[in-house]
Amino acid sequence: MLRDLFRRREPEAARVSVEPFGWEFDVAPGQTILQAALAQGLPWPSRCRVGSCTTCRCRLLEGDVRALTDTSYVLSREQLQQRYVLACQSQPKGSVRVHLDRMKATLAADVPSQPAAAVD
Amino acid sequence: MVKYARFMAVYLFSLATLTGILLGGAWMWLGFVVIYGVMILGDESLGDYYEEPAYRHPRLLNSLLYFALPALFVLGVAMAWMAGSGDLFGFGAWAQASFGLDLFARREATAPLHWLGAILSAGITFAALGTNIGHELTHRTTDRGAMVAGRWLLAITFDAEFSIEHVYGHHRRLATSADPASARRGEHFYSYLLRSVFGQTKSAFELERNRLQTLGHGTWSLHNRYLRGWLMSALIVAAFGVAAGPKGVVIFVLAALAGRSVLEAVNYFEHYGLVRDPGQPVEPRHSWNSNKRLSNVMLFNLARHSHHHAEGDAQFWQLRAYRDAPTLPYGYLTCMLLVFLLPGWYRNRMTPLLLEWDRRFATTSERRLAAEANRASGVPALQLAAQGR
Repeated sequence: MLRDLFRRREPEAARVSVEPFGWEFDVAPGQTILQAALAQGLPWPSRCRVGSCTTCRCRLLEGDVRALTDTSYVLSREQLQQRYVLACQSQPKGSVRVHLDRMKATLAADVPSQPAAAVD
Repeated sequence: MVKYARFMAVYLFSLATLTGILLGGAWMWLGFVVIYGVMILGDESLGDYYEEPAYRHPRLLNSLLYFALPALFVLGVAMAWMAGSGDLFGFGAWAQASFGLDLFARREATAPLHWLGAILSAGITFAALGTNIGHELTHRTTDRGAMVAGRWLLAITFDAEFSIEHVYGHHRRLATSADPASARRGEHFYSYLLRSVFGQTKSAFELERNRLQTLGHGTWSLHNRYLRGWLMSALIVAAFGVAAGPKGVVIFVLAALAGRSVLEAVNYFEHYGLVRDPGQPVEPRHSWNSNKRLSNVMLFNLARHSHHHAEGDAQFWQLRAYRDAPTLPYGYLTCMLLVFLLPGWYRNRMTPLLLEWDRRFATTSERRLAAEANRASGVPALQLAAQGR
């Protein structure tokens, strides 16, 4: 017991579950949700990975995240009120549940002639 | 050790500027002549730089960036001393006692034409140390210290707002008609210069205003990073006024504008004429890359621009050479001098490279955009190519 109390606690991986696809994966300390998802081979939509294009945005349903950058340059007031976050800039604080609107396969972003409107 | 130490080159060049300004007279051209001379000849003769070494001590490389702050402070003091009339910080007496250098006499012997050299030397130094390093640091939006240091470095050339526009504007709108900092096909450098400077400041203001509205703050408040940026620049100008009077202010402002025009020349040739479908991601083909050795070493790998835009969060020591990216015809300082002095010639020089880009790199939708850009370019060879389709 005492040993447990005084042992330096190792930072723990946080569990992320993703609606409506039912994906579940761990995010290691220091990792972002997007990095962990891509490492799992999940088709999470992403483009710039620096918090500016908002392609990887998702909505927080439960739990909280640490935002690495100021997302107020790129998300609207409505989106912030609805608790949208950028997966590429979010480190979960404990377990979180998020909603991802689309997955990459449904974006059809890889067809060169696709007009912009179909993506956003 | 060399792989770390080579990135100190830019500080050696800056030393030429500093020494020249303090020696006064015709020496004030020293920085300008050394920087352009060595860079242009060096890029032509030292060839390309493909090394992508692993660095075990990235902190060492990182700390090299922060030397720009004290270096530019010293340069600023030297400029103010030479422009002023008293003995700022007792610097003249100290130089006399330590090196036997009579700065008072040097200052007396300095004419306006000499000052032109000082302004051009300081301009390129402000751009290399201030703008370039400020650019690297303000990409680190997650690092507060880097953002503060980077914004001060940018504020020297009246461009702290670059930290807003570049990251949230330029990188998102790259190579589309919505981006003020992407030069269009056929666009003359000096008309681009005006469009870019005013377009970027307008865009930065709008991005900041939208952010404040999103957060529920007023536009005209101290939350406004755009306004705070201008305040930082005003403080620097005021410091020159206090230290060196109106003459100091005029010289500093001209040097800052010279530095800013260097940035715009670089912006111009880094993306000149390239097009992108706004719905598609930014790829290495949307920047003109250069693997010239000196350009990269002197500018912390800025010339590895194709990788920088494809992966905006990579640190300068992680940038890769990308041999197959669209490549500039010359090194950075050569392109810059051509853009400044022979803008029409440079535009023609790029025409065959653009046509090759259309054939080799463009996707189907980009070919369509390129044909439109060719028709609108006013450049006969490009218009002819558009008709050929």
